[in-house]
Amino acid sequence: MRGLQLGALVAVVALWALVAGAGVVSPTALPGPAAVAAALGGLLGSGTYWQAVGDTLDGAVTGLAVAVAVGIPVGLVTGVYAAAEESSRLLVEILRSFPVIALLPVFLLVLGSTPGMKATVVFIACVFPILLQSQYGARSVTPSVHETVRAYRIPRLLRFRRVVLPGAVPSVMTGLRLAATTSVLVAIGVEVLTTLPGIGHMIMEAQQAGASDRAYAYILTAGAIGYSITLLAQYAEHRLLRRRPPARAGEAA
Amino acid sequence: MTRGSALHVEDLCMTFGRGGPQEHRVLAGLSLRVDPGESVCVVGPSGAGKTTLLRCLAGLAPPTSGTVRYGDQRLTGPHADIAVVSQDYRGSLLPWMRVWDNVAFPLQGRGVKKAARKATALECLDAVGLADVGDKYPWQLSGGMQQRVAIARGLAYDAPVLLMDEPFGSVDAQSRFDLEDLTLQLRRRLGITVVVVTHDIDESVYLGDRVIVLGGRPTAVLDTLTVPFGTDRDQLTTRADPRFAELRTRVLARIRGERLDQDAEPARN
Repeated sequence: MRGLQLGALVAVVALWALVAGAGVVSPTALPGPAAVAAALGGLLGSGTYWQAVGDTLDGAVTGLAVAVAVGIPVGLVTGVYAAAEESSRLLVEILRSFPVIALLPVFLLVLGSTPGMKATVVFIACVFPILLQSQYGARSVTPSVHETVRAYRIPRLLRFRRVVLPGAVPSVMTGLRLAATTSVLVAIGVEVLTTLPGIGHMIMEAQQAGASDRAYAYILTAGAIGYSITLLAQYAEHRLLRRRPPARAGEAA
Repeated sequence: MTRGSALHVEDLCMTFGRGGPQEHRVLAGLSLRVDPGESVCVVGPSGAGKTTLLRCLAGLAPPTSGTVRYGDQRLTGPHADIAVVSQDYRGSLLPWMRVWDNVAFPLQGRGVKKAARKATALECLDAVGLADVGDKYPWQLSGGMQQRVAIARGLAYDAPVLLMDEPFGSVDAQSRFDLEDLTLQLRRRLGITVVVVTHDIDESVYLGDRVIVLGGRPTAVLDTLTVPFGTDRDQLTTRADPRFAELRTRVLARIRGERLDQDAEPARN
């Protein structure tokens, strides 16, 4: 299985080298894998590269952290109380339908071109998947469990901490995984569209300077960050759910 | 050695979907009494509203009319003196808590510290014959063992009244006998009041000091039988007693009779 997966990867890189080498497209539009690897190698030793990665991660992580801090509690509470869920449903549906990047000019106007603005846009993009998945997770607590908790007069706070939250974990983790990938994507998007420093900005800059191998090296970096986040999220999910019945863990995976 | 107070049910009515097209009258003026230390079985065909009655006794469902009193208090919600073991043991145990933690959870709700909680939980697990599974997770146990855990949780709650809804309905026959004997033994040792709702006629006669037969549509009390076997019973001799056969025949006749009357009705018209 693993061999096949690696094989597919190698095949794509080979195809890339073939297309670039055949001269079908100009080398400025698509440099070969070797040129990109060389550019990446050069960048890894430079301070500006790591500065750019740091700037992007800073914006993504700040926005994501606030989205987690807001999305999980609000999602759990609105998920448990049917009235809260119903009254907020329309608002949430409307808010989450706004394409966040389209709202960028508004944020630029209100908050200016600052790292805080980047984090805010990331927050808005990330909060809804987390909130909705938390809501969904809170609702997944079975009537049987609710009845037991009521019969044994478990206080509300304890119920949230030990029943609703753990019950919602598989679903919350799904939201978190989606949001984590989105956070980097949106941070880079904002950097591309504004003058804020970060990977997105470097891609634009390299492209404008005609150094497409460097631009692709940054694009690959963005991909690597996204992939690392997915791996990290999978690991965290596995750790959190390893004590669940096998069927449940399987569902979440 | 008995503890707690008596449960009184007076003129209990329950109608679901009142005023709507699906209006369904389940209980029609049920009255019954459960004395402290008594073991009462409520038996009736499925769909007779046995679970509804039990939920009213537990304070989990407010009746449409009529009252449930515990001692001289009118029940308006779950009571600290009343523990419930539900039919759905798989669903009522929390899969992310270890077995001991599940048993101790109601105590955490009362603010008992962890060490004390765990000690009580392990004692209660021991009492139901599960001395060494405290650190496992519920889903690692068999159905019969999970139901024992649910009973241990009821015991840990230290309530004088234990309500059980079809508690042994979904375990294998051998576990069922063991759990019936466990229930009798706990009741004898702890002096608790036990109310068991079941559709199994033999089980109701084996477990109860009194058997309340429900039936009809909407449900009413058809009969109340006193079981003369005392507190020491066992699966072999008690079930072989001629009086056992008499009682189960009477319960069955009561339930059947009601059904036959209803079946005969259209023919008469």
